[in-house]
Amino acid sequence: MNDPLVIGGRTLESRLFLGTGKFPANAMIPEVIRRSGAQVVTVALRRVDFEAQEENILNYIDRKNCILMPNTSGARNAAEAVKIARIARAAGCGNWVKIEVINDNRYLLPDNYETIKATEILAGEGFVVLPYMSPDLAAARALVEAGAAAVMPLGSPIGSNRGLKMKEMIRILIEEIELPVIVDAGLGRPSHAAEAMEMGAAAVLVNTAIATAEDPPGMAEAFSLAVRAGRLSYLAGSPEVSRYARASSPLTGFLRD
Amino acid sequence: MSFYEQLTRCREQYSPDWVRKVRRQDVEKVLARDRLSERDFLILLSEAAEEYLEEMAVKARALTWRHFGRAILLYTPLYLANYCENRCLYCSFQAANKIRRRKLTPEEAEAEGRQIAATGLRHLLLLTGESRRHTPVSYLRECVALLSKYFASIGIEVYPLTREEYSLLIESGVDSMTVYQEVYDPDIYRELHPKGPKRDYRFRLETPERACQAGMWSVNIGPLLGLGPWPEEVFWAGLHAAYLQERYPDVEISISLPRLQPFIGNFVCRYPVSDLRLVQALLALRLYQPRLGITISTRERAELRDNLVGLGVTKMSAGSSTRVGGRLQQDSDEQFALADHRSVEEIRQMLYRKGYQPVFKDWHPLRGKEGSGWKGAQGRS
Amino acid sequence: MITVNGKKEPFPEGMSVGEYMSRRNINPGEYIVVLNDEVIKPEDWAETPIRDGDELQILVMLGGG
Repeated sequence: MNDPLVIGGRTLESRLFLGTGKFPANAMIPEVIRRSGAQVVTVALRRVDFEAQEENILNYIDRKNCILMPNTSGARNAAEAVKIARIARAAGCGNWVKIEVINDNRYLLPDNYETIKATEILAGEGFVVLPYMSPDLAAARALVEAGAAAVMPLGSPIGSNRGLKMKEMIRILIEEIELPVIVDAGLGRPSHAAEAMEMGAAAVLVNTAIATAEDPPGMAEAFSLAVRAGRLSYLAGSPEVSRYARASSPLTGFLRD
Repeated sequence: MSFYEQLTRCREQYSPDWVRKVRRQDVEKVLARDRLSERDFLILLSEAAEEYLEEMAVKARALTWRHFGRAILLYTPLYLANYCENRCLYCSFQAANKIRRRKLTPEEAEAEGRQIAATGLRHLLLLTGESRRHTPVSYLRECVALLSKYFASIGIEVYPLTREEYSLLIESGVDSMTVYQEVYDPDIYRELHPKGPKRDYRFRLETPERACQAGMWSVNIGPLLGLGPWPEEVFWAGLHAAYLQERYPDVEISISLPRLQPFIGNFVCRYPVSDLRLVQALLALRLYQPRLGITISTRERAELRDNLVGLGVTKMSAGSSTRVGGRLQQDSDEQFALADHRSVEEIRQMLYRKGYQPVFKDWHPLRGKEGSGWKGAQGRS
Repeated sequence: MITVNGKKEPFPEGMSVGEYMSRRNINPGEYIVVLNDEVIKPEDWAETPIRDGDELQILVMLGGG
């Protein structure tokens, strides 16, 4: 089936983006990537903790099959996000970036305003910018204006695994925004991912639900299937049209008499 | 941005090719939405949307009930005169046609008005051709002044006036104004209006706006379907309505969808609009602008009008005649042939049968002849 | 004084980035080295001097969502 997703000039077959945080062991990651079919993988930039002996995650990601998407997690404002993005690119991580500006430590909700500022700067420097945002139509429009390659509204607050609590707001974005809408954060079950895709989301980004499952590679595959099912359902013809039930005798029947 | 500029922009943005490329999925997405953009409106006018007419109809009916109730406003036209300086190629009244020219005296107008009022109608539409010489604003004011004691609402469908002239008419008792652009395509417009004041495309285009600015309560616009290509003409008419409603939210904007009918003259209709397309236009307009009034006149045959009642129409003419003095005597020519000759009473019964309330009088005018009244005649700044 | 990963350290006078990394047993390519917001590639470590007041960051790509 020919239904590619084009972002930043790259053509993607898979509409499941994978986050690599919170996994019990990095060694699991190649298998998870394979089972998920993901072609876009997010990573984070951190200061080395010399006591902890952390491994470079890039050792576990095959750049031939995956687009690397560093996120700007840790940034509390636009300036910090911009710095992180530039460092990641200069270090050879490619020009894709997920902007994540969070200065709320309780709910980890993104700061749309700083995100818009960072998007404008980085898009101007040739980055392929995918901003993580709180679903808000005005902010989404500003992100489009600022040069984002897609918008990534949260489905529910990060890590909550509560599914699509932001469903109605996301629906509005899908209807009104021309760019791909990628639901990020809060998708706890494959059925949530399917729901997002059925609504018309271009893709979903999943991390916690896979990383913290009993069997992460298995859950990765489940999400992959759910994303495909949701997408196929969307393409096969939304049953939403019959939100208004057909009248018992057709109102326009007279035209065919 | 003036509407003229918006229209120019739209003509560049939306090509016939764009419309041809609309797919079923595009139509379905639009049908799932509550607020439609201009782009969505055009999608509903595409060929792809033709197979969704039933879905559009169900939704349009529900929207119309929500905003207008199950009621249809009844009104009728009264032709004051058929003198005209224009030479519109498609009209019986045009200056080059040798027809019986008539003009009612204000007293004759009052007599005909009295007859109309006897049928129960309280909303009247006064029409003339375009002739400032024969039917100047002072004449119109005189007629309106005499007729206003019989009717709750008097509308005018005459030649484009200036804002000041609309203010004067409002002072006399007019509350509603109708002007049809006829055709929005400027090239076709130029071709069809070879002579006379109507040649001024932009002046005519901006007429409804002047009326809104003068303080008119309701303003009615429309394309003459068949003069220009489908679906462009309906599209631009819809945009015009949206533009006016947005700029003048306190004015009742409505649209008519007259279709070219047989008349005296040699004009051949280049873009005939089928019943299906008329319905599609009606439904698309209702979905795009839920609060837009929609009128279907007696140009259309009775069965079709009756079917359209349930699809989004909010106003209908009844007991019509398009002759000057048509209810007094028959010695003048029709502007166009009627296809629905039913009396007011017959229309009323039809509406009851369909579960609709015929509305003869929608409001009571509190303004006195002196122009007192809470809205006054000052219009807007 | 210089700052390394947020912590203050005495200024290693006369040292290049390369020498500093050697002292800390950091091999080229293992981590990302950022001096005053600029990424210093391993091939440039030897020629890049550390100045007093500089901010050095030694970063790594980790898993993230």
